[in-house]
Amino acid sequence: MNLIAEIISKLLSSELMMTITIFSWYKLNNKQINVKSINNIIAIIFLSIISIANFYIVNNFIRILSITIILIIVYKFLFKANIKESIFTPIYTQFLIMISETIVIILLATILKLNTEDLINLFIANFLINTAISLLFCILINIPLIRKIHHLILKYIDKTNNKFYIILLLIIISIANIITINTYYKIDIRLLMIINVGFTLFCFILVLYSFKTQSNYNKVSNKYDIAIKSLNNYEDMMNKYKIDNHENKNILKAIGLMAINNKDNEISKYVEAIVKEKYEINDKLLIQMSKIPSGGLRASIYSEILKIESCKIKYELNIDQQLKMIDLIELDHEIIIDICKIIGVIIDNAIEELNELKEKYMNISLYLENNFLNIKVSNNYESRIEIDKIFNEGYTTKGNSHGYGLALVKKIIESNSRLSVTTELSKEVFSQIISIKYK
Amino acid sequence: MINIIICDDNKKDRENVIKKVEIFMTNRKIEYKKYVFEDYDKKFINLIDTKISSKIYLLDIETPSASGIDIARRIRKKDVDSIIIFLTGHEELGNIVLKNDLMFLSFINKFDDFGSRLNNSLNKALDLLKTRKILRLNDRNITYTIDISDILYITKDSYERRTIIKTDYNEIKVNHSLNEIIGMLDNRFIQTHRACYINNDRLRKVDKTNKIITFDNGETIDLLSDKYKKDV
Repeated sequence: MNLIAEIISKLLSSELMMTITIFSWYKLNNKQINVKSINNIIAIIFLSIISIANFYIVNNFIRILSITIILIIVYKFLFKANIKESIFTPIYTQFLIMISETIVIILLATILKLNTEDLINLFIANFLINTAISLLFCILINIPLIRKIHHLILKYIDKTNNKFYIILLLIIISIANIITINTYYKIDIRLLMIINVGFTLFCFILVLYSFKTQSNYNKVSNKYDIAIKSLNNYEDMMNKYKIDNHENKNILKAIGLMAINNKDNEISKYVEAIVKEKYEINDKLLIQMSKIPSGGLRASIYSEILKIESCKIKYELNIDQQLKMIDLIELDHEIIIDICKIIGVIIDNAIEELNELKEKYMNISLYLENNFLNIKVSNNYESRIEIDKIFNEGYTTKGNSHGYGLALVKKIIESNSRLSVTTELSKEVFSQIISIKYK
Repeated sequence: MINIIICDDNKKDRENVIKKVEIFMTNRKIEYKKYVFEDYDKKFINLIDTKISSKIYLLDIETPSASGIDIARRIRKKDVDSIIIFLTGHEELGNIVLKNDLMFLSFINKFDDFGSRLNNSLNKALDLLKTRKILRLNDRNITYTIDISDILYITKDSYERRTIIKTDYNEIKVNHSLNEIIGMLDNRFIQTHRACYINNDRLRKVDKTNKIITFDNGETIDLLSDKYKKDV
């Protein structure tokens, strides 16, 4: 007799819970539920029977997990949604039901001073508690914020990769399962300890995985940062060519005017002066640049040279002739990016220092030494440099929002054994040498 | 004896330099030995590595096999005391940074008042060889190049357990011991305190009553103990 009453109570409770669950799915999808729809009726009946079978047949430790999987399948069947949504929405509603259950039980135990353990074993009371839970769940699902959170999480999940998402949700379900068992049944302490260790291990793996994901993300992000920087450099070069073109046009106009009243070989003298002044300088720079191995480094240094020129800094570029003989093809793409970053920081720092000074000189030398390619950037300086602090985060001689470049350089060289940076200080000159092991 | 090392790939220029150096050294009655090279070849590199004192290099900037700048860098790796003079047609090499970086004395334009400019540079070089000394030390990835005449005093920071080298323009803290650094310097440094050595050439005044030492740039210190007072 008791068993029949228990089954009827369970059947009514699960019928109620499943109806309300399916209703909540429609609500979260901003759709009207059609109670007469055959699919919905089949789903409710199927889920009610399965949930009772689940209660009696399936082990306590995987009960929530198994019913969640059934809910996921039914959701997929009803809404024809993608796998991520089909996993997440049933779990979200299960979670809301858990919150409702917790609130109801706490209210009964604290306000009405009822013994909830006894109530759970009373069939009528059990049905009434489930009704209260369903009502509270109905209220929760009607709160716009709850639906908005669901929508936001769904949007976020859509951007994550499947493996990470599935692992995370499985852990959440398993934790919920164990916690629920611990609430209603007495678990052997040894078993509980083993489960706790298992969860800790799970969480540890999860943290490691998220670190790895973050690191991959940073790598990709850095790569695109460099790409944007390169695009800006190309824009600078385009501007330079625009100015050059404009100048050339003016020169041609002047020659045209001179041609009208050509006296004392004026044109040839003018052309000779321009070739000497303009083209010899550009040619010299381009010939020098061609000695730098290609693969990113050449363009990076060239764009820095343009920056130096635009700041009207007098500079010398000395490139060892032997540099032609090496190539950086063996170096990883990541190392090349790191080298370009270091060069950028060091030359930018030198430019910033020189911008404060009246006399502005810079020297950039590239030379080989014992399987190392050395790039030496030297500049005159006046500010007092506390040289042992220059690589500290936030140390600067230039005021706010500076002092992070060399800290970044330090981080890069610490993570890459093929790169090193040394500093030289003499009376008037501050130098930094980037050494790259290319073999 | 002064060792003069000449390298120029152009025969006419090279002979011109040799002739002018010979006249200068004979007039100054200074004993010297000259080494002449057409290029920065293996023999030249060997000479850089050879430990002979008082070297004056007269280097052509551009030769077929290497740049004088790269060679100067190589020389500086080996020694910081030799004198480098560049022979060039490149006016832009007057750059102060390059000059300090490679510590070269001058660049002489081969086509502009060459004779008198070479004489001036050689005069200056001989003076420097008598007095100039450079302290070059490496401390935790930082190389300091300090002209010894710029040093005022060297002391010990007992709090940070580091040695402080005080110059006109900076205060350099290094992890070398005081004795290690004194070992690299010459006898112009005298001890005034258990933890202080001063550059005697930079000393202006010693107030033994109040124990105050004043340097020629106006800076003062009070590191004068009774034990060393009489030697100052």
